[in-house]
Amino acid sequence: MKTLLRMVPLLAAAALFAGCGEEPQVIKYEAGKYQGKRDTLPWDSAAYGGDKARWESDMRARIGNQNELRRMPAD
Amino acid sequence: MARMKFLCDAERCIECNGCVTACKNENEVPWGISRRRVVTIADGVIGKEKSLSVACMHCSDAPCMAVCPVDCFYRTEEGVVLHDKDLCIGCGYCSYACPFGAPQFPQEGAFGQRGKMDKCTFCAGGPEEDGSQAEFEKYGRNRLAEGKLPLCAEMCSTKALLAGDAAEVANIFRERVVRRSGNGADISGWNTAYGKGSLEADMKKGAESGGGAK
Repeated sequence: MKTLLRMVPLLAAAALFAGCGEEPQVIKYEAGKYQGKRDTLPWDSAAYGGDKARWESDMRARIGNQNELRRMPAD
Repeated sequence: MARMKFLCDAERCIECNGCVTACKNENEVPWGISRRRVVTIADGVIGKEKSLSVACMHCSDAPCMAVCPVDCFYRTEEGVVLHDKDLCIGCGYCSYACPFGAPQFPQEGAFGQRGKMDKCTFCAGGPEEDGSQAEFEKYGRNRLAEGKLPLCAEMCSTKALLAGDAAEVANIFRERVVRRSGNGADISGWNTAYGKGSLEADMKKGAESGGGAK
């Protein structure tokens, strides 16, 4: 009987630790390698001629213009 | 300009469908395809109706890219998800994978077989020479290469639909929410994205803070 009682915590611990060995069941999707044609960068267009800084500055201004709170003076 | 994203402010969208029309016209999108559409919830219920303009969200971890059997999707340096129509076989897997219903297929031929997939390009064209006729015919206008934002957002009369770099768009939205006396989760956008579990709870919270839909 004593041996059996001593075995109980051991068995409980084994059952608890069994969970640690579980592999994740969720499928991990991985995007494949693009097989199509190469695209050009937006700042490589005729309008910008590779000037990334100018393109980014123009885009930032354009994005900022969507905020009418900054365009209009505070009341 | 790390991640180009759209953000639609449900408190501002008036369901005018200006974004849908602007997109159709600018990109000469074929019949039967709407790259962008306006979704309305609690339609006709006074005080509870809300609308959102939905298109491709240019996901950072796009499921369409993961399921494509011919790997015709790619993500540009600015975070825009595009695809090569020359490679697309029109299988429709991307359509099933997309949670926003962005990929659409033109019905071609007498038996209505699917054509090549078409979706929002964030007005960034596709893998053809920038501004070329081939690019326009396959993917629509390349406004990004002209230093412009997608027309749907630029045309939005109430500025409900915002487009651009995620960080800057989030800043605009945050400033807006703070001004209409929002706080906490409203500012982070959590409530906009996930709500409080029910429309009633959202409306109650909105009424309490004075910033909800009127």
